[in-house]
Amino acid sequence: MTTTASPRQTRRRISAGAIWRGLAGVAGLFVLLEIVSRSGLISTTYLPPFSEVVWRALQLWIDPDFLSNVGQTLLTYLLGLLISAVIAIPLGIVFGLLNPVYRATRAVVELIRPIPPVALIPLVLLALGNGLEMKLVIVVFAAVWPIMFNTLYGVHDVDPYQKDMGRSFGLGRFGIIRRIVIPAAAPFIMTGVRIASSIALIVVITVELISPGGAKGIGAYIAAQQLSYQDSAVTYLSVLAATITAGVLGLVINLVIGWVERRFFGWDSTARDGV
Amino acid sequence: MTDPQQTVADAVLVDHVSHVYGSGPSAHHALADLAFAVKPGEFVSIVGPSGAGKTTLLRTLAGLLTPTEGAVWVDGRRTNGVPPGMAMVFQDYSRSLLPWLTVEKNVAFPLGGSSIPKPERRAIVAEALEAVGLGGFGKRYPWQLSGGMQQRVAIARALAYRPSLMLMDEPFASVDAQTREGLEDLVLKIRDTYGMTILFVTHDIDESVYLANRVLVLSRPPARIVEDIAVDLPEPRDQITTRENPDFIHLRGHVARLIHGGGEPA
Amino acid sequence: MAGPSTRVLATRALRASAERPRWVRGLVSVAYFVVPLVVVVGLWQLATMLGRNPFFPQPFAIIGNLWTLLFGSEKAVQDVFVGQFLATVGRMALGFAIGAAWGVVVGTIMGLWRGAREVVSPIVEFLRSIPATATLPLFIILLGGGDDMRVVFIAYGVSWFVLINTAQGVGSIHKTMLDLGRVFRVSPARRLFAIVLPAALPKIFAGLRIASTAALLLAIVSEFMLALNGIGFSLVVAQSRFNLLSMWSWMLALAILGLLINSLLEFIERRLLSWHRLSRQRT
Repeated sequence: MTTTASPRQTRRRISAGAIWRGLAGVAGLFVLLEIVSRSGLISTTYLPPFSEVVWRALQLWIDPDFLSNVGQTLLTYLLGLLISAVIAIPLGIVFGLLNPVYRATRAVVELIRPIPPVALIPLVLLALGNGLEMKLVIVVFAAVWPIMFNTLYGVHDVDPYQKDMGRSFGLGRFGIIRRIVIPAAAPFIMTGVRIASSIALIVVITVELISPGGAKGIGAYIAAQQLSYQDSAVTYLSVLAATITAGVLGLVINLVIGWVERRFFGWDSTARDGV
Repeated sequence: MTDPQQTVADAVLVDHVSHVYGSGPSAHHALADLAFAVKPGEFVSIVGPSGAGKTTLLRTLAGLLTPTEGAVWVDGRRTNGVPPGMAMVFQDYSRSLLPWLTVEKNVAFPLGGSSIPKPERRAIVAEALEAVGLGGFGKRYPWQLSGGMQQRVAIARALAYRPSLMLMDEPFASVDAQTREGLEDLVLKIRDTYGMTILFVTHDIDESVYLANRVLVLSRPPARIVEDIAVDLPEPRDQITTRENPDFIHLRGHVARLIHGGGEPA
Repeated sequence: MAGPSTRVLATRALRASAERPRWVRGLVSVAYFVVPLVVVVGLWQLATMLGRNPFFPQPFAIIGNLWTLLFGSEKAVQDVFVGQFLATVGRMALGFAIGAAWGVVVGTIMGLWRGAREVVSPIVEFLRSIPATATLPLFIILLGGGDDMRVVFIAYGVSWFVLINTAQGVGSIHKTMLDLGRVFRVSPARRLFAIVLPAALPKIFAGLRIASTAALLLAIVSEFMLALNGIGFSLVVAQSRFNLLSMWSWMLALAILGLLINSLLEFIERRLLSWHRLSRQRT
C-alpha cells in the first residue's frame, strides 16, 4: 500500500497545453527580468538587463578561448565518468553477487562516502599538483558511488525465477551472469550512470572553481572572472553568462542521457528511481 | 421514461444529468440525460458494461464532478460540490485508508473537523468498528490487515460519519470471492441497522441483484438507463437460499442479457 | 489490488519466527560493521609504520591529532571545536532549514496546481541544472564574502533538491486519497496538512536526505573562499602550511560529521516514516 501512483500512471506524455504554458512561463520571466532591470527597480549592478546577458553569452559561445574552456570541462567530465564506470560496474557486480563481501565492505564505505569529494581537493592538490590527474581523482571518487550502488542493487535484485530459467537451459554460473544477470541489471546501471553524470559535472566545475589559477575549464573561467572583478560590468556579465552556460551544458547532458536511457534501457521503469 | 417528480421524501433525485468530458471532436459523452429518484432507505444497485460511466455517475452523485447538464438533488437540496450527510466507500481500499494512521484514527478521520467532543467521537468510532466486526482492531495499522478487513475499516469510517446516504464504488471488486460474501452480508446488516440509503455501483451482476431493492442498468456510453428493475426477493437475503431462488435466477439472467446486449433494451 | 489474505499473513509470520532470533541478527550486523573497519584501520596502521609516506599518516596519529585539535585544551574547545567545527555545523543547519522550508513550500504549490507546475517547470529545470557550486562566485559578487552570503548560498543549493522531490511527492498522490478528503468535506487546510503532506512525506524526506549531503558540501565549498572559520577554512589553512596530518584530521572530522547527520536523519525517518516502510513490505 503506497501513497503515490505507480510510475506507469504518472508518465503521461507532455500535453500541448503544457508546452505552451511552459513557453509562456519562460517568455514571461525574460520580459519581467528585462523590465525590472531596465526600469531601475533593481540596479543594474545586481541585475543587468537580460538581453545584455544573452548577448554576452552569445559572444562567449563563439570565443575560441572560452570554448576551449568548455571543451576542457567536457573532456574531464567524460573521462571521469568513463573511469568511474570502469571501476564501479565490475565492483558493483561482484558485490551484488557476493552478499557477504558487500556487507563486510559497508562499514568502510559508509565512512568514506560522506566525505564531500571537494574536501579532498587540498590534499590531492598537494599530492598531484594542479592538473588533469588531480581533477580526475576527485571526479572519480565522487562518481563511483552512485554507479556502484545502483549496479549492486540491480544485480542483487534480479528475479530469481529468471536465474532458475537460465539454469534449466543448462547455463553455467558465468553464463547466467553474462546472459541474464547483467542484461537485467542494465537499466539500474544506467540509472547509476545518470546520477553519476550530474555529480561528475558538478564536481568537475567545482574543482575548477577552487583550484588556484592556471586551471582550465568553465569553473576556472568563472573564478578568474570573479577574481578580476573590479566594479566592471563586463566581468559580472561574463560571470553570469558563463554560469548560465554551465547550466545549459548540464541541461543538454541531462537530456542526452535521458534520451539514451529511454531509448535503450526503457523497458524497466522501476529502475529509474535509483538509490 | 416519465419525468421523476421531486417530492420532499426523495433521498436522491437525478434530474436529467448529462456529462461530457473534453470538447470538440475528441469529446467523450459519458452520461446522457439520466433521470431517476431514490427513496430514503432504498438499496439501489447500479450495473453496466465496463467503461459504462458508472464511475462518472457516482462521482456526479458524490458532488466530486459537476455535470455539464442537469443537476443532482440530495435530501431536497440541489448539490453544489459535496453534499453533507453523504459518505463514500472507494474501490481501492489500500489507497483510501491513510497508512500513517491507526484503524481507529482512520475511522475517526472524517469527524476531525467537526464539533463533536472527543469522548463522544471515541464512542462513535468504537461502535462503528463493532458494527463491522473489527471490535478489537482499533490500534492496528491498515497494512497489518487483510484486504477484506481494510475494506471493513473503510465501511466503518463511512458509518462513523453518520450519513443518510452511502455511495459505494465497486467496493468488493478487489477482494477475493469468499471475503466478498461476508462483506455483502455486512452491508445488508448495516442497512438494516442504520436504515441509510445506499447506492451501490458494481460490475458483478449477481451481487447487484443479491443486495438491492432496485437495479439500474446503464448502457454503454453515452450512458442512459436501460431499465429500472424492481427486485422483490424475500428478506433477509441469504447467500445460498436467495441465490437458489428462481426469481433471483430469472432476474440476474435478465440483467445479464441487458448488459451483454450492449445495454439495449431487451 | 487485493490485500494479503489471512493465509499469506500467517505463512509470513511462521517464516519470520523460524529465522535467527533478533538479537543474534543484530549482533551479526554489528560485527559486519565493526570488524572490517578494525581490519582496514589495522592494515593501514601497519603499512604506514613499515613504510613512511608523508601523504598517508598513521591512522592513530590522525585520530589523536583530531582529538587534540578539538578537545586538547579549554582553549581548543573554545577556538576549534566551537569556533571551527560548530561554525560549519551552524551555517549548514541554518542554510538547510531555510532552503528546505522554501523548497517544501514551492514544491507543494507546484505539486498541487498542475498549471503552476507547467508554467514554472522549464525555468526550474534550467536553474537546477546550473551546478550549485558554480554559483558561488555570483553570490560573492552580489553579497560579499560574509556569513550571510554563505547561508543564502547553501539555502539556494539545498532548495532545488527539496523542491523537486516535494513537487514529485505531492504531484503523485493517488487520486483516491484526494477524493477522500473532498468526499468527507474535510477543509482545504486540513486536507493539506492531514492528507497531502503526510502522503508526500516519504518523497519529501528523500529530498531532505539528499539536501543534507548537499548542505554539508556547499558549506565546505563556501568556506574555501574568503572565509574566516569553519572546517573548509581549516582544511585550506592546513593545506597552506603543508600540515598533512591536520588535513587528514579535518577530513576525518568531515566524515564523522557526515555520518552523524546521516544517522540522525535515518533515525528520524525510522520514527516518522515507519508506516511507509512497513506498508511497502506488504505489496
